[in-house]
Amino acid sequence: MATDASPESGTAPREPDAGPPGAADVDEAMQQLRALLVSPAIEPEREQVRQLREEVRSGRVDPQQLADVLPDAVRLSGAEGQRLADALSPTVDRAIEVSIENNPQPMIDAIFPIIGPAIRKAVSDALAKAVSGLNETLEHSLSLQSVRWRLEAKRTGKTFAEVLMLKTLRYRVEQVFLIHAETGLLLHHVVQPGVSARDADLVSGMLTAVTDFVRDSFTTADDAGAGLQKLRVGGTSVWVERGPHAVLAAAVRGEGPEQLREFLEESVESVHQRFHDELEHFDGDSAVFVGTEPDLARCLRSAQMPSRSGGRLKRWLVAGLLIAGVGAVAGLGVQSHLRWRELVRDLRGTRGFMLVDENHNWWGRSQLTGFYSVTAPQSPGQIVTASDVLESEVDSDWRLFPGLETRSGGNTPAPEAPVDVAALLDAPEGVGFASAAGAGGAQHWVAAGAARGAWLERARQQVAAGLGSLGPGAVDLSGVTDLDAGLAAAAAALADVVVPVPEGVDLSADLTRERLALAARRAVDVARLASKTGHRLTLEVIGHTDALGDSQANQALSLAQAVAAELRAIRPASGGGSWLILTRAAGSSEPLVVDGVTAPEQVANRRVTLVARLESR
Amino acid sequence: MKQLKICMLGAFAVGKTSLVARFVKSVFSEKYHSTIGVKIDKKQLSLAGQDLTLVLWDLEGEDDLVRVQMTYLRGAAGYLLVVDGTRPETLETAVLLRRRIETEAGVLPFVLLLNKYDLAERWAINDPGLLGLRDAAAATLNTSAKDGLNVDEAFTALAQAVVDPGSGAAEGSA
Repeated sequence: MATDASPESGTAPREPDAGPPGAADVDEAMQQLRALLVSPAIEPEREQVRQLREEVRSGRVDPQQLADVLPDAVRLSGAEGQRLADALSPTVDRAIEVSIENNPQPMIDAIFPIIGPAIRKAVSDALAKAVSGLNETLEHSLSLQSVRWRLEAKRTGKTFAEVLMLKTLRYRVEQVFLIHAETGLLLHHVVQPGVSARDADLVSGMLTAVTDFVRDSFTTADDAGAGLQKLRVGGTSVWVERGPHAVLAAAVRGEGPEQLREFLEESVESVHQRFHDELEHFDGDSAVFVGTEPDLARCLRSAQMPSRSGGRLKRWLVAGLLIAGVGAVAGLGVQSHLRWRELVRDLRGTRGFMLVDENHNWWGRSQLTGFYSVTAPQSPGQIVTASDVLESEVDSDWRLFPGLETRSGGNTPAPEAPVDVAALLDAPEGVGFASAAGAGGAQHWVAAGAARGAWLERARQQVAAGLGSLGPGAVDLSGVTDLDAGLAAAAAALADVVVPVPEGVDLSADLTRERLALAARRAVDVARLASKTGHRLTLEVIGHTDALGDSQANQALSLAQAVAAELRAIRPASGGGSWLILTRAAGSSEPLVVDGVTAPEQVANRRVTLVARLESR
Repeated sequence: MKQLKICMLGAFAVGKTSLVARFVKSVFSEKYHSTIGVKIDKKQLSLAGQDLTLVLWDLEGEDDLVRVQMTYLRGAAGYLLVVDGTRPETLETAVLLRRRIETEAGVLPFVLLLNKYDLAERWAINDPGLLGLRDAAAATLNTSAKDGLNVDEAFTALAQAVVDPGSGAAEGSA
């Protein structure tokens, strides 16, 4: 103020101990100081200083100043750590408690938009897990229904498209009303295009009245806050979703899915969130609620029935492929069979061969059994090779005619049969003849194969009497098996089999399994011979039990049924080896052991036997 | 557009529904009265340049057997209290109704209608104070649903009382 210390001034700065200033200087400084201290001009500043000193001493803070700095102070404190949060937490907790105790409604209103989505998300997550993998398919036949719908369209005067839409519509939300909860006044209304709607203001009022009516008439004190959730008349229902201040009502045609409820919940929550103040202070002016249109419009949902044509097309495709597959396989099988028949015909028509047995297997290897003469023009292998049948699929058992083996090595051609012995004897299929050198050079034939007993008997008599120009005994029939005798023997062998069942209906014992297998083999033998001799076979499975205990007939029947089940399992599906099975309970009337009276002695009586019943076709 | 919920109240057969029918073209069937006790109609009108929609809740008439459901008054802006001028007992019912409304739903503006004024020769209500209702009502009007007398005025007076409570009571005359 009085001194200038800047070097630019040209005077050197005064040192503190450079000696006292001049008296004139001191006077001037004193004058200035006095003026400052006592001048009325600085009275406001002095007052401010006094106030500040007072405020600092009292510790009081001006609320306005605090309000100005508090936001910044809170922000700074929050940035530095959570000391402020820790300090405020108990107070805030207590404040919330007191608020809820006094009046819970504001808190309910405040958390309503939050709690709904949270619960819904949790529930939908849980449900999604639970139903994952579940694939709902609802399909209907179209063709017949479409005709019916056309008739209905004619009858009702609607267009077919209208009927089709209504019938194939699973559901459609046709209108959505947003209604003020307290007054029942309509806040906003949306409707599907093309749907004719009655006056929405009135519908809104009536819906509210109906809700009030139901609540007043039927609900208890506990349900006082609840409201009507669903109204249903015929194919139309009204779904109602309530919020604290507004109610959403959706008119739904058809069967709305439960997810629709979620959309309504979300919409009513969204409306409450976005229009909370307007709803709370609603004074009858609904203009502002035009803004709820998106929330309401998202509830205008619909779903068609799943299209049936896709499913039908798939089914037809699968069926078509299956038929084509079966057809192709069957075609191959038939072709294979035709080629086999041709080979058999060739073998039978070729001189020097006698086909005794042939068995064509449609899906596996086929068998050829027979005799051949050294005079035959081709070997059996050559004939098979020349045919369309694959040689690798044929098991052949060809033998030289009996009595010729020793001579086959000499390549001496046997004399050819000048007469058709087979024709003379009216030989059946399965019996073949080969000429062989007879005693003294006389013509001689050897027959082989299998034939019915009656034919064999007659043939023997013919041969004994002399066949045509041939002398008696010119044909050796000893190589021909009597099928009827074989069948009788096989049936007898089957009847000999006893299947013991020592305990209950348990067929697992070793001996039981062994006998069962034997019985099954013999049953197959009988069946094969029965087929060849033109008999229908019925296996009678007879259950026998011991004389101990009650219900012997039932026990016996149980045994028979158990064994019958086993035999059914091995029965050929079709063809010559088939049989019918009957079960019979002999009880204890045909005992094996008659003397035994104790359980161990009687146990042999617990058994199953089989009888082959043969009937000419 | 501002909407107002207005209730029609009164004793049995005082002509509430006829008054509403005079005032609006009804959409819903009368059967709602007997089924849920209320039928709803609406009327749009213009009041001092402001468009209003009156949503009218025509409540079932009160008698010895039937009591008006007070829940239907929830959110109402006001009500029309209807009396049959040829049946003095309906005035007593109106007094009782008003008392119940004020107890259960709060004080609401209302207009008192002395209906069936076309039957003036059988008029039976001569009490100038109308048992205290006249003073409390925003307006008191002699009406005739049959002739259309004061019908529009009645609804307008109530709307006026609701929208502008300080407008003062109107007094109708035959």
